Amino acid sequence: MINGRTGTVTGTIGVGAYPDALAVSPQTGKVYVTNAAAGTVSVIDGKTNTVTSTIAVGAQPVGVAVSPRTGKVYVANANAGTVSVINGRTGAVTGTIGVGQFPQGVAVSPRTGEVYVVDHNSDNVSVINGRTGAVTGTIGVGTYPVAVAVSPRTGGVYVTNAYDNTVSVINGKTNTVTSTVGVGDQPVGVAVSPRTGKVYVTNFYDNTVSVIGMPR
Amino acid sequence: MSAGKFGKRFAALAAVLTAGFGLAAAQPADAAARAPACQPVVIQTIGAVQLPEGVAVSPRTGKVYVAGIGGPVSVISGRTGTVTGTIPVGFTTYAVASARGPTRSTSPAPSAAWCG
Repeated sequence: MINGRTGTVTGTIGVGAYPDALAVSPQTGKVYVTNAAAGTVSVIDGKTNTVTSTIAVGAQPVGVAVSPRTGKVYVANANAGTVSVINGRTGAVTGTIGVGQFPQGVAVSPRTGEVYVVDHNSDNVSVINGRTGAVTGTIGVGTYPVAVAVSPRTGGVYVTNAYDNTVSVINGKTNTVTSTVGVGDQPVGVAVSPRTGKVYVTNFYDNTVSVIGMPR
Repeated sequence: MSAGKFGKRFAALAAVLTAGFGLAAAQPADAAARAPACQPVVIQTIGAVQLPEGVAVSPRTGKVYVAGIGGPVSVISGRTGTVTGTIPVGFTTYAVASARGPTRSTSPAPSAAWCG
């Protein structure tokens, strides 16, 4: 844990084997950490910073996102080809959705509640209806996509394509790719600033962060 | 009608006409400025930590936190895009997340446009 004001490490919390991803519920402050080797999700109380429960999901959970609308937690299980849906209040797994070969990154649109799941091996993104849990479509992107983030300002969906050195930009209303932006060497992570709409992309091999925004 | 009164009226009409033409002239420029709004581009490239992977933005401060396989977490100013500090964490980091999501009062109103 890092104090956002002072920038100092305030503590560490032990979780499961090979923790890979984490997400915070804006509704409850609970922190969800995927333990890739254990096939579980650790739930951390954001107030006490202690692990309050461990939830069994699918094989090799690597991605996690929380719906800001419903508090539902979506976990991408890479080796199982599924997404586990967790009730944010009870911690119960309420559904398992088949999505593809190797789901990795996952994000929820704050505008629509739709869930975007990146399939690393199929070079596409599955779209899940947040209410019904049904896969409503797949969107082809670049080669070996890794991560996904949604802009709360525009509904735009950003997907890092690791082997193409590009980011696919998807219109969140039509769910079609509207542009492809060249970035650095092997883009992996992506996040959107809710304040400015700027998109930050980590380029693994050239040790840089590309900032994507609107041209002035 | 005095010439002065006519002159005033003419001036007012001229002002309206000018404003009208100004608007007409400005519209294509505005449209041109709006059109690429759905075509985002790379506006900056920032040197970060070694082998950066996870990235998260604080909805409160706009600060950007980048986790690197190489070790420390980089802190980037959301305003200037410069690395303002690094936080040694003593272990390999893959992912980061900000502890407080946007609340109803602090989250920005979504823009009307549905674009990237």
